Amino acid sequence: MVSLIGGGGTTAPETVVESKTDLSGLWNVIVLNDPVNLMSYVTMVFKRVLGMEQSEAEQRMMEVHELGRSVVWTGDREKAEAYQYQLQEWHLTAILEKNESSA
Amino acid sequence: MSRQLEFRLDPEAVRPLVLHFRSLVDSLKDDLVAENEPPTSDQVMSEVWVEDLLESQRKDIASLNELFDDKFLDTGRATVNEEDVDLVLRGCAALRLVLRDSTLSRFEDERLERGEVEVGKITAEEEIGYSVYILLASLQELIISQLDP
Repeated sequence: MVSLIGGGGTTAPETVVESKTDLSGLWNVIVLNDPVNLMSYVTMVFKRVLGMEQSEAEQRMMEVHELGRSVVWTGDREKAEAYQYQLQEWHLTAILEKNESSA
Repeated sequence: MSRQLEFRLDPEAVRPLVLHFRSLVDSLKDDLVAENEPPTSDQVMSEVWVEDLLESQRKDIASLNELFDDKFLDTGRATVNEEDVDLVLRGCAALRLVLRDSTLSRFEDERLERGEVEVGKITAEEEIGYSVYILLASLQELIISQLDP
């Protein structure tokens, strides 16, 4: 974040640079489609890593397949990173995005 | 007592596939196969993240190396122990990703996904690579069906 603090008279503006990553709030764990991993494999990984029931795992897998991405978990940053790591460990493409509705 | 999953294949048929598999293994030592990014811009944390994933990937590949060892080349018989199935499943996924980006890179993703590669119209190396790609998928399907009937 950059803020300009104007001084009086002829004083040159002072630039204050503040860099901060806001990790608070809710985060989405998102799995992106890849053309290699099998549907049955992706479904199994969702069950194993995220503890989903078969029907939910299949539904999320189909979202990934048909829409290119699916939000597979939402919650605090620390746990989201742990799930992201585990999904990447299974060679799925997983990213985190801030859940904007929680902002 | 842990369960075992055994499979048998024609040794003559799988020999070129295993040799092709072994030629790809080195490329898996230092680079992650999936297009993944660490969740942080912090350089140190990112390096730790990637190195941990690489170490995990190396274990996955080591399990496949063990499965497709010289004994398998001679007999066509291999056994997966229950405690190793995760490693083998992930190793298969990693190697399929590498094949897609190497031997099979000229094929469109949709053709690979639908199994529409016409074996008679591809080079000998591509045919072997594609056979490995299918073999690994079949092994994954077999293990998953046994894990979760």
